[in-house]
Amino acid sequence: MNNTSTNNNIPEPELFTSKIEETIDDLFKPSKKIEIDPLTQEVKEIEVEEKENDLTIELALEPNNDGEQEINLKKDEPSEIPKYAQVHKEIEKTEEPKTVELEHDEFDLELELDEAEKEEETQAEKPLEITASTHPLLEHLQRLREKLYTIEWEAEPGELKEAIGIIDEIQKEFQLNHEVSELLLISKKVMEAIEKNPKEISPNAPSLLKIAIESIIEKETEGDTQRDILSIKEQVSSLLLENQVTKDVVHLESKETELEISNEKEEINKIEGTEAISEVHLKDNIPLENIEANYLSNEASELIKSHLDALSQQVKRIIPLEKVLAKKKGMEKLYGFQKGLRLALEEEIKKISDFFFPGEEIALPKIHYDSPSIPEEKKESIREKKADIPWKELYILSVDGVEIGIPIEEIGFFGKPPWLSKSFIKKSHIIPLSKLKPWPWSKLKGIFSERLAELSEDELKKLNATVVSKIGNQELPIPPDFYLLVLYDGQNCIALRVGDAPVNVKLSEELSLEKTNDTCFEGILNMNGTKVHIISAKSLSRS
Amino acid sequence: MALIDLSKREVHCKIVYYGPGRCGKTTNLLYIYNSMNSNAKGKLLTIETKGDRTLFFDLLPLNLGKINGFDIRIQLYTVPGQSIYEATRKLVLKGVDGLVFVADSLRVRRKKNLESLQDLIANLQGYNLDIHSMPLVLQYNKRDLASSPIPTLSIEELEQDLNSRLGVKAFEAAATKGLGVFETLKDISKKTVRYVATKHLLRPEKQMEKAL
Repeated sequence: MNNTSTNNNIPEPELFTSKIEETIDDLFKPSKKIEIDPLTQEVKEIEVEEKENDLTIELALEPNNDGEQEINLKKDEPSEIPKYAQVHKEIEKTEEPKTVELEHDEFDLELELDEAEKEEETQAEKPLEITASTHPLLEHLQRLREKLYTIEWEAEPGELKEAIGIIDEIQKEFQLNHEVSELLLISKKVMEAIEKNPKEISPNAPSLLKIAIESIIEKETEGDTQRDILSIKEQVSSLLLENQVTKDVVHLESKETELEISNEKEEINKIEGTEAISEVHLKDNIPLENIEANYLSNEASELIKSHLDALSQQVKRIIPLEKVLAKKKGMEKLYGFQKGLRLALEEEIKKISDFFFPGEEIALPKIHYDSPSIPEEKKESIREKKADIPWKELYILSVDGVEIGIPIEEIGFFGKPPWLSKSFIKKSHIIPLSKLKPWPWSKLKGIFSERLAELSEDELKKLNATVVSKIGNQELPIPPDFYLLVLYDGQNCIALRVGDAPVNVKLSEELSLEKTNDTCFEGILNMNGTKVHIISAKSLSRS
Repeated sequence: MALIDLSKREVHCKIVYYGPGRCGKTTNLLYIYNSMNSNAKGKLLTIETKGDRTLFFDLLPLNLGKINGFDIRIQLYTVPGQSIYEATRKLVLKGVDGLVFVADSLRVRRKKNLESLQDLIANLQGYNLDIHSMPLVLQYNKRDLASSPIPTLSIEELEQDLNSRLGVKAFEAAATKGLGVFETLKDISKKTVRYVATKHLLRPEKQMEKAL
């Protein structure tokens, strides 16, 4: 490459920068004429107007050919003089001939006088103009507008306080229509938020407040406004919400006093890929309390309620799936995911309803497990009515839709049968505990828990468990991949072959045990609306 | 911070428009964005970040395309001028390569201009940068108001207040009408690119020559 130095990777700086400068000259220029409204930042194209102005210049300078040439020459020159200065000169040239004509042309002067008279006449026909002196509310609003102009320059606490004071006065002294009253109230809240924590409010807030007040003034003076008050109200409200709901639009590291506003390409591409302001991610644990939301219009209120309903519907749809997954072994993760999803939705519903409708209760669908089984290993406390039960914890299994509870202190063994004796255990009616050795040389001590664990090796070797294949009227199906449960109460040793792993449930002391005539059950526990049939080694041996 | 990646052949420069609140920094960017040919400009982003603290600033990326096989990009940033956003201003200044100080011609803003310039100098010092050794131009904005009844500062007053010590190039502007906007942009862009190229390209070359 010609313009690079000895090293191919490094261009010669002088030539390189010259080339860049040429490109800057080529690229950095306006392709169209626009004008930005200093108040609203609205962008207007002024291409047509410019042409009209050009025409005026030519017409105005028609009698003076020299002048025309001079201007044309200046226009064609590449601008060494700043454009601003050029425009200024053009304006001077265009205005000069007009003034001369007006001063010397009597006919024009007469016309102008006539027009002035006409204007006066038409003004007289108009109804009395509403001014601050004739309209006390307008006087307040104009004071408020002045304050907002000042706040737009610099949001100083004193100015904000005064502006809030003016709104208070307006609210106290004047009967406003609902729309205006709401807009004023929201504006006041935004001002209070700026006063409280100015850094957290968008810098656009003062401009938006100003627009809000302008529209109120328009409405009060002209009876109507071209601006859409509802839309302004929503925009102002959004400032308030933005302040409450943590917004994370573009993630920038900002630890301590450091901000990595990376200039690296990846970062820029990431930013460039995003559309204007956007993407709002709600974060957890947003402190929404202490916020009044009585500024909601009926439409907005209905909209939010419909959103809440939609969220509740989603909760309703999740519940049955969650219940099914709760019962299935191996589905713990999926169950946990569904449960997390439901809880997150419920949390959002609660936050939104507390924020927008404090005091109102939003009905959430409730989850009732058919069985109190919870696949997580964590023990959960289930509270219910009064009464006295001798157990603190139960293992609960579901057999053909019937919930069976087994006192945990009686369970001496639970697990998959050793593969060596699996076939034997599957078929037998009596299982010697020695068959539960994983290997022929293994010792029995250490395999068992609870009261069985207290027995010696010899005692265990001699002990047989009677297999129960039916609980009450319920046959216990033996799936290929079954579990073995051994119950022992010091006297009775019972074995059960079950399909699902039981889950551990901690019992509340307030639970009551309902007696039953079926001798194979100790009784029935009513847990959270679900009947759990309690079995024990004793009750099973009785049957 | 300027990024010159010789392996990827990329040059990125960062120019920050600084100045008091409502002086017209964002209007400058808005004008550039809306009037410039679309093949050289990216999206004008008004960025609000909320993490440990809230940051608001505007960013306009401009792409000069490939020059000598290098992809040249210039990023224009504005800072929020109101004094309450002090932390943001400092953070946005990090890694700046070129500066435009936009001054407000309104007489009532005379003090704010001075405060903002002092704030800029102090924030640069926080990054061990000296305003005198950086590419900098001044822009006296709202000159269109000089012919209106609104009290404005004369160019002499602005020069005396802001440029007597700096002695840098100053542009008169009316950003809402686009007057002086591109003149300012061109000048600071050229100065910044030259500064970055001299600083980052000359150095490795000389180092390499020394090594040889």
